[in-house]
Amino acid sequence: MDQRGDYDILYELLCCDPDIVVCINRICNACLHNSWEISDNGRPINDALKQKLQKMYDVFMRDCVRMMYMCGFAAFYVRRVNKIPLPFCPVIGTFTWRSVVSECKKTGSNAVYEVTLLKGGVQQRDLHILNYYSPIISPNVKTPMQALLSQYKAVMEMHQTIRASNKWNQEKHIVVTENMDIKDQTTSGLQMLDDMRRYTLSGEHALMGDKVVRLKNRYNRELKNTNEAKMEWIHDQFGGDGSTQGIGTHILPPNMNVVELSNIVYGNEYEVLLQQYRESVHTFFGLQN
Amino acid sequence: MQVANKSVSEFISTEQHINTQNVINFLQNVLQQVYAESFHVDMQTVQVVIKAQARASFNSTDDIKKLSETQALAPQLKTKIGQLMDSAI
Repeated sequence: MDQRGDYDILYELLCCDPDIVVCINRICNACLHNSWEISDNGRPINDALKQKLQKMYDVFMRDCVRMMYMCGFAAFYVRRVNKIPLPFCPVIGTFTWRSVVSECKKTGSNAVYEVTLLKGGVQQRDLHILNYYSPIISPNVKTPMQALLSQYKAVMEMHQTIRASNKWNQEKHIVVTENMDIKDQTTSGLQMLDDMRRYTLSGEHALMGDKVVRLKNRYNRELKNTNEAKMEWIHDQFGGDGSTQGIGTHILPPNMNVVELSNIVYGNEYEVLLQQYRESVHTFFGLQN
Repeated sequence: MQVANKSVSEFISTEQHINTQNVINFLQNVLQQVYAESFHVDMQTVQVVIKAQARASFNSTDDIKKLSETQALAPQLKTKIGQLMDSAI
């Protein structure tokens, strides 16, 4: 959780992953499907006040549930809205947290959660923190959902790999290699092959003198090599009207071997990983899948 | 989901029910502190009660029939169900 990216993945996991969202919703529905009752000095609070508090308290308690699983605690501050004091959880993404070794006289614990507010205008002293899980002093464990976070990252990496594979498979990939059987070649044969390749690609050869005849097309335009001459001829033949127009033609040097690469085939690792992750999510929240 | 044909796994498990109760206890504690902080009263004088979801629920008349046959319904509940049926008619 030292890296900013880990926090962002945790927020994504908590707010967008369907399995986590469903589990948190199920817990909220189980806990908050009935109304709550508050009594002050043994007397229930009056209906008018309860009606005013009801809506905000319901939202606040859902935020608390999400926060306690994400951070291990619920933090809140109280602000007056239309003269009514209402509780709010700091918005996800506006704070970071860590466990620090510190004597807490209130709870007796030797470690406490420390919340750092990054934005939002809430003062540190206004924040109240209530532990759901006790803090753990460890560089590796910063959230109760640490294991789920690691599994989620692995699932996402696998998902991205499969997407990249699918993209690769959508395109045709070929490899061009030179086809040459060494054992059938003599030294002079190899020399001839080199000369032929040079002549085809560049139009030049070892025996070329100053008075060599230059290649030209029918319009007397000079051609640099025989490849160009072939292309000129092909364009001349296929560049006309009708069905031959717009035909793409490629010419390869001699002795070229074209091989089409096969598709990337992936196994069932993604499905296995996803299944394990889903089971872990339901186990973490103590819910039946 | 009918009680009559339900398997044990279809009810909310004891473990799940305890988990829910733990979350409720925590939320009660949070609301107690919130109310005390909001209205500047002593936390000890504030009591918050959040009721947990029942472990099983009626989803059809078959459920009621089965529970009634096994004498599992209290008379008060029977009266309530009767009133509910009257209002439905």
